[in-house]
Amino acid sequence: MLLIITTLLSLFCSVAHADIFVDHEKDPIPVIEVNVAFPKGYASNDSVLSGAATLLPGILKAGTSTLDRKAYDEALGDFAASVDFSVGNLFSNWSLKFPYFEERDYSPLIKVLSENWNSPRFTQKEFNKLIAKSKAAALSSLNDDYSIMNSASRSLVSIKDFKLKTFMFEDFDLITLNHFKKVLASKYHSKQDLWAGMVGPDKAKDLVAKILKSTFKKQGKIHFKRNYQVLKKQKAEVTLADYKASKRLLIVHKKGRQQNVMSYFSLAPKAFDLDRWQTTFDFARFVTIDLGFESYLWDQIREKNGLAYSVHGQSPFFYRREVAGFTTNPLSTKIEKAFALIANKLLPNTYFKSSYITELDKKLWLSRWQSFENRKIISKSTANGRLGQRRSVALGLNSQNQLKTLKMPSQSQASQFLKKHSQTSLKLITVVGDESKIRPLAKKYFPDFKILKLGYKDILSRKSYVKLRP
Amino acid sequence: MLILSLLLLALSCQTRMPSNFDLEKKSEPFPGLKVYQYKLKSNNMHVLLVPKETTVVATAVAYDVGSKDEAKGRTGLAHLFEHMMFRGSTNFPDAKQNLASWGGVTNAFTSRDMTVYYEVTPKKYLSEVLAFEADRMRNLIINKELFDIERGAVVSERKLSYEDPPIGKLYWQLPLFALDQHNYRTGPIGHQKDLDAMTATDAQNFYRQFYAPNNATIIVVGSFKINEALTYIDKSFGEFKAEKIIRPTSPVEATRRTLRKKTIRGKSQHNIMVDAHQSPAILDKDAATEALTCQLFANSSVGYLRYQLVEKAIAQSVWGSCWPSREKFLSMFFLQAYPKVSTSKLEKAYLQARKTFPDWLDQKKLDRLRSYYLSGRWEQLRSNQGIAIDLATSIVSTNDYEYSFKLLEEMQKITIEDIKKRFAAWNKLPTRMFLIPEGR
Repeated sequence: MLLIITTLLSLFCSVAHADIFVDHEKDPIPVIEVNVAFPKGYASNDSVLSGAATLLPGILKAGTSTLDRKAYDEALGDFAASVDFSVGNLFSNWSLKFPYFEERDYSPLIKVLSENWNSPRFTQKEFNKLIAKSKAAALSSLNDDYSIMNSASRSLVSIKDFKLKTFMFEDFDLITLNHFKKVLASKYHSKQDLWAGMVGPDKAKDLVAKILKSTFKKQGKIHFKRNYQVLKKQKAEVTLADYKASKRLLIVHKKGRQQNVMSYFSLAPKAFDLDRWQTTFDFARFVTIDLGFESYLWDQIREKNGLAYSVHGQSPFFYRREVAGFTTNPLSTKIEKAFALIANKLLPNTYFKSSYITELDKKLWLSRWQSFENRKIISKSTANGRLGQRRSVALGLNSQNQLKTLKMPSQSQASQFLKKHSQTSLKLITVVGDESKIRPLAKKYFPDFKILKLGYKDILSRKSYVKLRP
Repeated sequence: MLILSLLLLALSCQTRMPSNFDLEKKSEPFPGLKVYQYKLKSNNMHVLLVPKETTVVATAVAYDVGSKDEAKGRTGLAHLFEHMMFRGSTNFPDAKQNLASWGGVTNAFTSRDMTVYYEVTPKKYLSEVLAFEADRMRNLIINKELFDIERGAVVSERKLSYEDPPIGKLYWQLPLFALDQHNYRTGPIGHQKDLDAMTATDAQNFYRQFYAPNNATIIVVGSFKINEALTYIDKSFGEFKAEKIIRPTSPVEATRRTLRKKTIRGKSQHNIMVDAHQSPAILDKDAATEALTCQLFANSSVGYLRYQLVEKAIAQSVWGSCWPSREKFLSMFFLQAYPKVSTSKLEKAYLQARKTFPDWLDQKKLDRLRSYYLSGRWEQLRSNQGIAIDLATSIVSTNDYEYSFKLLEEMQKITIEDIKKRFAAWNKLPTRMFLIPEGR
């Protein structure tokens, strides 16, 4: 009896709490845009389930249990509506866009959206088509930047994580239709509150409420407001101490390239590790890579030396660890200059140590925070920008509170941090190019790095990556 | 009485338009979107103002110069020069730092017809942004050292975007193969040998002539008062002198109706095909019909090719590149083959689709596509940046900032018969190019 009451109570509670919160940005332009943020992504304990989550958006495009792909497209097309679903590492986003005419009957659209989300077209035929297409796309996207990112991030992961969680090319053959069903049910058909952003005229609110309620089956209330309190914070899980230091230089061998690709990555403090906001690492990362055209990295590689057109700072955070670094594309004639620059100037610890405490850098840092704030004014002027900011806050990434108490780290804090970071840091340099030209430079400029080699076509293989473990 | 007089005087000062401007046109091309077009009398610079209640303001400066205006042997200069515009000017030597500290979004693009710079910043920075744009219009720092650095970046961009990626390679190669005469033959990135040969002096001459107020339109969209914006613009640009602008005339492309076919190799895993034909110029009567016909045929979501090739696992993706240019250019259709699909199979399926396309057309499909167009168009009007870029491209291409609104109106009148007629006229400058993986 107690069990039944408890079950009923928990059911009641979950239904009662399943409200919909819509951050409404009023706009007279008669196009409705709706975004729904789910705090669930492809991160999973199982590489096959991760893969299924990644491919879920593809199969949702196949239609509904009663409408095949063509009929589904036409049903959306009648309203010039486009629906997208994207799955990231920790978050997913459902979006809808269509022109709004006050007098129009939207019930067929409401029906098709609900059917697509709750009863998608999970047929074997569509499944086979999706797998074949995804395999072809994976092979097509085997360009340099892709390979760099993959090799860098994957070989930074511990062996245990790698085997369990990283979706690789060969996993395509292990996914079944049931995995899609499991992912949809466990991650997205939950009874949690729903967070959405809406852009459009006031008079379309009722229609949006109907669409959200019908599609996501929420029984609670719907609240339209501008700006909401943040989503609940997630708990920090791991610290830097989980990882051992290592220095590796990976050559991805490719003959006859005029353009090389180089990347440098190191393990960064966890996104959840709030002390990052008070550390030299934050300062250095901010100045070196976060600011695009204004970054130290851009300044050194493009502005002062004209080594390459593109320099991308990257700091993707993953499920259990984070990497930070950059990728650039120096011409093969300038590759040695690029090696020298990375070895002598850009290796972060060197840069952090030598300059973080100067008055000029302090001034610069604080002015960059101001710039960051100005950008927020722009971002905050849109519902989607606000939705994105809320997601960041949920991960402990929002700088609002930190800004209020912003202080330069003291010398001892900095030393402590550098010690912690250097003791545990993984460093990986990856270069795509002709091995015979790269290897001598690697030995000259990075003598204490272990040099590894990977064939260009081995990039998608799990087996190849296992060899690269530290 | 004195107080009343002073009040009236203050009021008249507030509302009076600065005398250095002529109001050329005002209209409301979309409900709530009021556009005011002025001319700065001292130098004939055009100004478009769109006051809107938002927290941010978008500013764009559109220069009537693109790669079609480059001299022989200096292809790529218009685009390289776009890079130079971010290197600093006399009063704003660290341009990027200024833009970053305003927190703005900033970028630029160079096409065959024009070069457009734009910024989105919090509204309080409007006067600074205008002063910055004015300073780099006439006081840019150009020297050999900076020029060589930017040349390095452009050479790298060229390899990164137009030599290594197969699609970029096709975008570069196809017009060179399809056209014999017209200046549109060469894309904005330019030939490598020309990039190697050009000097800072070339850049200086190019700048002096084309980056002149009478060759530019300033567009401001966002939260500001008209007189406030005009006063800032007058203060920043009013003293500049107009320049005499002499541009090279482009030879007319001879009409060709025989198919040109070529196969090139590239860094691709699968075969790719691109098919092209001559497209009308932006002000030709067929421009709107061409745009709709292209999309009905090759739109990646609702076009016929998608159903015929992508859904049948012959192509991974298809899309059309059909936006009209100022003069007649090319409409292009790209088809990325599925693994192991040969070029001949891809071509055969494509030609079959060309045959059956007219039978597939019906009123419902046309209506659907029009709705998508309408939605996309409205959506562009949602952001200040979208409005600024739309007005910039319209006024430079057609001299009429309302062009894209009129194009949409025209699209509403187009019938299935018009589409079929336009499709039947896809026979000028027929060109087909295949890219196959290297080593095969």
